[in-house]
Amino acid sequence: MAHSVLVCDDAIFMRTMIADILTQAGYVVAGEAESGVEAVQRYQELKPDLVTMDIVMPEMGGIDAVREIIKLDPEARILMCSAMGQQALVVEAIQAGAKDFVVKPFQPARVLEAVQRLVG
Amino acid sequence: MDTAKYAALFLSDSQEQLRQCESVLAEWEGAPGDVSGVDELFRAFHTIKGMAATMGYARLAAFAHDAESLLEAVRAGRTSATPELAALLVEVVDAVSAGVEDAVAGTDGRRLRADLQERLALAADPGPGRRGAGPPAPVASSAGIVGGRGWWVAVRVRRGVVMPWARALLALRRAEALGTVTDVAPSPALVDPERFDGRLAFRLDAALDPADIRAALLEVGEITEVEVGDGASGALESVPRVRQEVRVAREELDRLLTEVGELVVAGNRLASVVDQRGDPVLESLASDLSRWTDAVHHRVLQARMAPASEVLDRFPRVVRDLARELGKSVRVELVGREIELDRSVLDAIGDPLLHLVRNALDHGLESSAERTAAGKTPQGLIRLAARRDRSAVEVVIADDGRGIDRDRVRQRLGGEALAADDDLGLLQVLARPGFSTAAAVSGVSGRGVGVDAVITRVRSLGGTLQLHTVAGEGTEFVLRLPLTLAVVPALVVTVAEERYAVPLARVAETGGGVAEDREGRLVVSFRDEQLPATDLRVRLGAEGPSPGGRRPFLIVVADTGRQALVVDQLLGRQDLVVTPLDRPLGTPAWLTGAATMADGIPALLIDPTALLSAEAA
Repeated sequence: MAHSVLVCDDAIFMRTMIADILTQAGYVVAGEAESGVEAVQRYQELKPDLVTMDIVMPEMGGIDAVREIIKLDPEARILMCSAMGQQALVVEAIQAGAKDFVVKPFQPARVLEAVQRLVG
Repeated sequence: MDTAKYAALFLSDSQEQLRQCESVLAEWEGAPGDVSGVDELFRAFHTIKGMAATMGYARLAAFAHDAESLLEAVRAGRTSATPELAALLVEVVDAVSAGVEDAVAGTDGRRLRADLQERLALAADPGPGRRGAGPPAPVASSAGIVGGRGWWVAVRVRRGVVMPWARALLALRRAEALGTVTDVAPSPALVDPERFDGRLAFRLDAALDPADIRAALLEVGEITEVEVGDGASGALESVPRVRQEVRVAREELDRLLTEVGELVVAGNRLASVVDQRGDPVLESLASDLSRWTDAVHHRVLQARMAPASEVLDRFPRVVRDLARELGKSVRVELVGREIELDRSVLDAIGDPLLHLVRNALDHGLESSAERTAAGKTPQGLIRLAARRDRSAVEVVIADDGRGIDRDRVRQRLGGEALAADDDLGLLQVLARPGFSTAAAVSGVSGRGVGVDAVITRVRSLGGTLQLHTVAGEGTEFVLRLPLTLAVVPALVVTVAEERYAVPLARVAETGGGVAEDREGRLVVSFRDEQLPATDLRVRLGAEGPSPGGRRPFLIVVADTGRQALVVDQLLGRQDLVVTPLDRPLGTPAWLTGAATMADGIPALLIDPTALLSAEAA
């Protein structure tokens, strides 16, 4: 069965792009979230195989959302979506339990590599 | 990627973000100092940056990045939310708005003005020094070992990946899932993510084969090498050790250098004694001693090295403050921040540089209005560049201002015949004590140009100062100093049976010939050149007539150009430890120090530049 993904980003543009990359590769986008709070709610509802998480979002940023989700499910597979120059934030996210990261601007191949490493 | 498909989405999303910015800024205008909306602004520019970068709109992304950095500075309290800032941000939002439209229309950056971006960067830059290294990572647990085996693991992150330290941390977390990790090097809490070299090592206690450990860690991605070694056999060769540092007082290091310098001299003396004995065992010992002394000497010199950034990095801030005071708009460009220079040189160049930079700001650079009228960019540029070659350090201080006004210098001289037509002559005039062309005494650089103070300082350090100035285009000073201010490679000569040393950095070439008197001026022929010559014998007031006929000379590059210094004998090159003279009254300025040579006989160190300009005066 195809793996399900929850895409979290406050920009429709980014969500659409990530969703397109994943869908074309055969993954199922189970849902989207545009804030950290929504990401945590949707994770509980959907129990997706993978979460893509933007770092900078309104109403609870991505890193806090990772902490909350890992509290709910220590095995959660979260892929951070970071901009250049945010290494300190990515490190914080990894310490919070994120499993991998990709750096914007996205190259679809890189995103898929990371996704495959996490869910196969 | 087919970006056209996303362009419409990009446009509408960005416009939505910008509308929010506008409403936040409208609120700011009503209540200045209230920064409640700053997070929203930050996010908006961050989002636009990310989208623009993904679409390949590099100029827009860079612009949005700078806006984001400014807001980051406001969030962190490094920049305060003044009405000026709000006004700047309104301009920025308008610019990004136009930038988004241009980008979608295929003309990325058309209406993004560089000067606005500079102002953004200026408002955001908290001055020298970069931000710290993120939050400390947890140190790996050192819990007891249960039923596993100890392995040494060394991991290498692929070169050139972004965020190598975040990548290494993923590998570390993976290892922690396999067993117990201890002795992590470099220690996560001490890593500077921006300088991490991609190599990580640790001890892993796990009930697994090396092959399993390798495979598990390679799954992390962007990991090119995993070495697993037996814990009992000790650390792997490639285990990077955390750099241990010990603080040493500067004076201690100076003393050590002086002492090692004396050791070098003692070694040279020994070598010359041993040479005369012809004993092969002694020779071999002396040669060993000399090699090790050189190695220690080199090591001590290395220990005194620090990057030029230590001096250069404070200038952007200094310039910004002064520029504000003067109501000028100036950009600073630093080149060669990473060049390693001797501490003594770094300490010595700070003041002369500051002096020259102030001059450039105060006298060199015009106001924005003048610049615009002259067809230049409204913003002036000051460039500070450090470089080093085999024998000297050079620091260039350049501005793109109005250049030095030769007419005004001539007026100031009041009809005195002036050699200020060329840069050399001009520099000599400027170097006269107290010479000033300043129309008004400004609060910034005091009275006039004050180049005399700089030149005196630079000469006292055994350096030279050069000037290039072009009316309407700018002024450049080149400060040239020896690599280190303690050991001086020198050419040793004799004059009237006494020894003198001239720093090698100041000797361009050596030659020999007959000095001829032409209309009261001494001249030597060297290859195709006729060079003005000075007989050191005469200059030093030696007794007895100068020997006639062919004599050796040094070609030195003085402030006035190439000149010949005629001597009695060239003894050759030596590295001398120069000690300053305690100067009795009347000691000429061109005697800059004393040194003891290999045979124990002292030599006086001559500064040819000072000597020749004293002659000219």
